[in-house]
Amino acid sequence: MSITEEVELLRRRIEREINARKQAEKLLEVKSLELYRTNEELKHLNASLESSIRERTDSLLLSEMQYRSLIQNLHSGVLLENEHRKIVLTNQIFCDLFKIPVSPELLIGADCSQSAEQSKNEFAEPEAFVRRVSTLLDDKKLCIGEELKMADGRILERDYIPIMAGERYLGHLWRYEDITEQRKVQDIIRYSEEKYRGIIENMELGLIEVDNNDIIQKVYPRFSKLVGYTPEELVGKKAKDVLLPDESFRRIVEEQNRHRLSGEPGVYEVPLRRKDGQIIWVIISGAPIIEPSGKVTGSIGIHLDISDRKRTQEALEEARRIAEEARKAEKRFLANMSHEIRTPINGIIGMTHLLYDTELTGLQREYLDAVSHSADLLLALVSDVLDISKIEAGEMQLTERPFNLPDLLNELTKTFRLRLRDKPIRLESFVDTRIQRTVMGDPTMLRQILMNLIGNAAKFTEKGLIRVQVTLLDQLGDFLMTEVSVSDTGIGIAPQHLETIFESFKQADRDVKDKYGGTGLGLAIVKQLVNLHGGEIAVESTLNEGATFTFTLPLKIAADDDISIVDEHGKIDSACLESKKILIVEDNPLNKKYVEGLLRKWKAEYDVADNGLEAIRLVEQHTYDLVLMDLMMPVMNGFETTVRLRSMKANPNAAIPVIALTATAFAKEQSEAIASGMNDCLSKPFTPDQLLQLLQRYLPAQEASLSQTEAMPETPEVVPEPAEPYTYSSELDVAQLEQFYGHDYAYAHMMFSLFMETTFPEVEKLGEVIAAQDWKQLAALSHQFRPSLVMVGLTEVANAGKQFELLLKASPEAAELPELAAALGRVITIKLPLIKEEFTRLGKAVESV
Amino acid sequence: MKGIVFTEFLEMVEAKYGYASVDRIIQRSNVPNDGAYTAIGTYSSHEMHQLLQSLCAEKNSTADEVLTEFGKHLFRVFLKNYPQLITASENSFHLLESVEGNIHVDVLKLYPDAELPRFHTTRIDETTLEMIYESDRRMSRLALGLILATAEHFQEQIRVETELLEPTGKSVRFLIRK
Repeated sequence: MSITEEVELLRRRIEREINARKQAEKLLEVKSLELYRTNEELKHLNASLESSIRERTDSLLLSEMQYRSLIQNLHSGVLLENEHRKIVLTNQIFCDLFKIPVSPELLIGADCSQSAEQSKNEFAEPEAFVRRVSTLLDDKKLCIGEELKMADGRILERDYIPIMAGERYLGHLWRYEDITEQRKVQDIIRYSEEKYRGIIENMELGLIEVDNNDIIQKVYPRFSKLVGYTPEELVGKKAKDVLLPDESFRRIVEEQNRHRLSGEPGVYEVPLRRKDGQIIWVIISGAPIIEPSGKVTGSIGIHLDISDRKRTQEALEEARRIAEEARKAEKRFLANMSHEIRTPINGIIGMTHLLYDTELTGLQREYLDAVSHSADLLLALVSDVLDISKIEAGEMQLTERPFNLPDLLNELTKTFRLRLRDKPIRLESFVDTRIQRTVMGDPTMLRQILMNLIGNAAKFTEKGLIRVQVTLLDQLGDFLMTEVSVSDTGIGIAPQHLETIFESFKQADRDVKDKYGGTGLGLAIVKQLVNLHGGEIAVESTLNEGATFTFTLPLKIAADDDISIVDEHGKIDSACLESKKILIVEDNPLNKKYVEGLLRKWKAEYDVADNGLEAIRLVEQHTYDLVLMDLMMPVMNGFETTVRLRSMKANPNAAIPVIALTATAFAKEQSEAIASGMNDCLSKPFTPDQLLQLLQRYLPAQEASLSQTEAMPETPEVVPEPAEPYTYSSELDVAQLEQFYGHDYAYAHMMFSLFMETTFPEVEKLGEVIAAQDWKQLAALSHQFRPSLVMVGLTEVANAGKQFELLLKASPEAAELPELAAALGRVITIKLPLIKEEFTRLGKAVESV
Repeated sequence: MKGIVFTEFLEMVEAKYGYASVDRIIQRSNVPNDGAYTAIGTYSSHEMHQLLQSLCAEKNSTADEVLTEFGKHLFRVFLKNYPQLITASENSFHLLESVEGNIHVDVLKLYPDAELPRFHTTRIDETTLEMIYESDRRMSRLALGLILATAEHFQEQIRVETELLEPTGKSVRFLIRK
């Protein structure tokens, strides 16, 4: 190898060495960096380790402090020893319990191996104590709640708790607690329990305890005696299976048991079957047994034997039932009798009126007056008795509906003003302006009360003032407490009679009865009605100066919904008429249309016959519920038609109610109507209420028709109200018109239209009859037109006609006849054109709706 | 493959044939970095095979012979550099049995990325030890050199039977008898 080659080789070698060194250096650098990083990481780990150790140490310290503080503050004396019986921890209470005169901290580390021996004399039985401690320490078994009597009388409770870590024994803890007071309280409780148990056992009450499944847990001796079973025969059995005689009572008891589970006590009566089969009745007072945790674990039943009482009660109940039935029978009898008596009295009254029409001597007329007066009184008495018996039987019920109080008062005062025309009496009515709204109450009842009170006032007052006043006493929300007073300037009531004035058949005195008549039931009815309406009535009076009757009347403000249904015709429930079929037999088109209008409104079905013959034909083809029968008709009159109807034996309509529509009240027609087989009479003109009342009396509502009403929601006939409230001309009998048509002006318009068509031209012609002095014809025509005239408010014309008629009947040759006829003619001339105007105005009002 | 294998391989070549041979082999092998290796570096085992083949070609010997020789050389290096690894054992079986459990564990402490062969030893009887070599490097002959050098060190006479458990030499069974 040449030098050059060798040098070259060496150069390559050195180069490789350098290269290798550089590689190594680089690697070392990388490793060094890695080392640095790892170091840093280690440092960090170390730091966090230290901090977590510190935390752990702190928390250990804290928990140790907590335990220490817990032990020191325990209400028990605690001594913690390690396995070498050196004290680790104790507390002040421990030192106090054993009268150790050093602080607990100083005891730490002290040796306990001789402590039992040293302290044994503190205990009532020193040797036993030492032995027991030694046993506990040898066994190293948990022992809780041992009681130790101390020499000074205290009682301590002791726990021995060995402390083990797995298998390793680390020491033990003693816990001592002074339970002397606790024991005393327990003794008191035990004594008290014994005392009450003694009381319960000696009472006439049988006690058993059952669990939640009605299984008998404990039977007290008294109960055992009550049912004749020994406690052993009952415990563990289901109480209701053993003791209850039948299923229905088991259900009662089951229900009671359910209540008991929810922690409710209860008292109930059941019969029990004794072991000997005898049934006894007991009152059970059941109370849940509730654990301190609130859980119901069963119930205790206290049984009182009420068999004797039950027997007495049953006898009393039976006696009461018999008495009640007797009372009801009496009421029924009274009600029936009253009703039955009314029919013959009506006969007497009718006949009396007929008798007046005959030639009578002065004496006979005097006798007849007496008969008439007595009959009227009797009729009033019977009506009142019927009312009283209805109230007492609880059949009179309050029916609340909306009504307008001022309207009701106006209507009443109008009626009475008419009655008081002949006496110098002013009738005033005032309503508190705050009660102007529509109110809820029973207007029918209120009307009856006021009719009676105002009627009395009118009867007993000769001159002066009758004043009806309604005052608002108080208002609470919708509730109104009102006071109604009716005062008069009449004869007054003597102080000695004030107390009894509201009792049945107690009029002030005989003189009053003799002078003023009356049944003596009016005020009794008023008081009952006021009470029924939730009010009270009182009277104040000074003899010969007047009397004031004051009653409270609770009312409510009607809700807006209710107000819209205030309708004069809705006052009486027309539900009974739905799906009833009525036959109207009437020739007068005005009356016919009037009745048709009402029946349509009440949703009754009806057919119309113009005369008796047509009626008979209809009756042969259809079945009706009732017939409304006019009496005077062409072709066949009402009497004959009724006789024919009643004699159709095979016809289902033969026995249906027939109501006569008569032109005169209590006269020949009425009694003849009854005689011919009709059931009742209604004098024309009549108000919708009068007709409805009669229909209700003869068409009792049926269950079926009621349920039908429920099934088909009622669609009340909408009576359109005119934008401006319509007012009838004051020249007409406005009160009468309002009673007939209410706010149904379309109905009124139809009636006026019929009048214009049929009666108007006839009445116009009366002038000619007057001129011809055909008095008989004039009387007949005025009689015929009278109902139609009243239907359009021409009451004045009707009355003038009636006066003429009466006079003609009384003395056909009377000198005043032409004068009366002329007066009738004048009234017709003045009033008749008003009907034309009214008809036109009504037409416009109806169109404007 | 750890750099020590390369540096010691080249040391062995230099000791035996002189640096000129080392230089030739390196040049012949055409390895990257012109054959500059540092003991603490890590290089591709492919380079080792190239160097090995170059040496075989140069000296006209087999890879098995070279590797066995290299194994013996390495044992001397280990004895010199890490005598405690070897002197801790009392005899060859003892040492061979501790390769997997102790020596390799210590090696991995210094060179965590070292890819070492796995040895599984079973003492068949007092005088027979079965040692199974497993490595993707297929350098069981190197192991054989080390085994032989071990016996020599403890002045023990041994016979080694070699059996391929897998045709390419990834798994080889040595049955060592005293």
